[in-house]
Amino acid sequence: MNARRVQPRLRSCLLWMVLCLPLWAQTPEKPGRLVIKSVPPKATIVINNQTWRQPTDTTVVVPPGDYKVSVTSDKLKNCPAKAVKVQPDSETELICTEAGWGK
Amino acid sequence: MDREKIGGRGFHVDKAGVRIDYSFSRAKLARLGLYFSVVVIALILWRVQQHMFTATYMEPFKDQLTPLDQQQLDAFLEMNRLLITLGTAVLGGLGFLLGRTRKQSLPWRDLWPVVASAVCAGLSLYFGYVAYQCILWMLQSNFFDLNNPAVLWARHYHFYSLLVSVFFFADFFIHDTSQEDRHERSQSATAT
Repeated sequence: MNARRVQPRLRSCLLWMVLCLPLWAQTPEKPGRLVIKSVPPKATIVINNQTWRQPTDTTVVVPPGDYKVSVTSDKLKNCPAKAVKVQPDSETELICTEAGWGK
Repeated sequence: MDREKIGGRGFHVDKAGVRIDYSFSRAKLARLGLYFSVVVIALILWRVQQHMFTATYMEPFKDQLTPLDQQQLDAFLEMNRLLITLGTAVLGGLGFLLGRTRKQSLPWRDLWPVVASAVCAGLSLYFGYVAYQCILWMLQSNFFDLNNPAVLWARHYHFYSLLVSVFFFADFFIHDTSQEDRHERSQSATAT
């Protein structure tokens, strides 16, 4: 094969590669939302062993994945760490009551 | 197949007597080098972006921006525009300087700061665009935090690649002007 024929092909391959590589990930994946509510409200939220800065009821934007959420307050003792899966661009709702986690 | 040599270039002559040039001239090597560098830079960018976008975060949901958020957004966009303008100016300046010194072809030891500066300016423009895209992503996802890892890294890369680019530009500029001075001095000395 002639070098003159190879060069344009090589060039077009490289062009596609250069265009496609950054296009795959120019922004992060669309996050999901964790909607955490409690009855009564103003309870402390812990997500993946980190205390969240806002009390219930609140919505937290997180990247898609698995999380462990717990809710505690003086009156709410029955909402230990619960595993939840957050999907991209969707809402996952958690409600904590005095009886425990509810729907 | 016979082989013949003309000057520094090698040719293969096939049975029909057609000469095919298989030798690598300097221009071809430079072009191959460019292609190779482009692939390497694209792969590095891809890897860096993966690192930027897989960092974990937790942000409060927002229906609308507070006045303070709005001010932060305006300040960010202003700085983003300024850095993009400066990056473009560096590329323009490099083109101007190269056009001025193009009469005699530059050796690689003089040319590499130009290449480094151009690559860094290009990266700066690219990350400026990524930072802008990340802001749009953030607003579409209903949260606002300029210190979110994706935005923060894009902002840092945008600024620091421009800084490195300006450094190499200054290096080339000083080298270029000092060489021109030397050339002028030697010319005036021969004239006298």
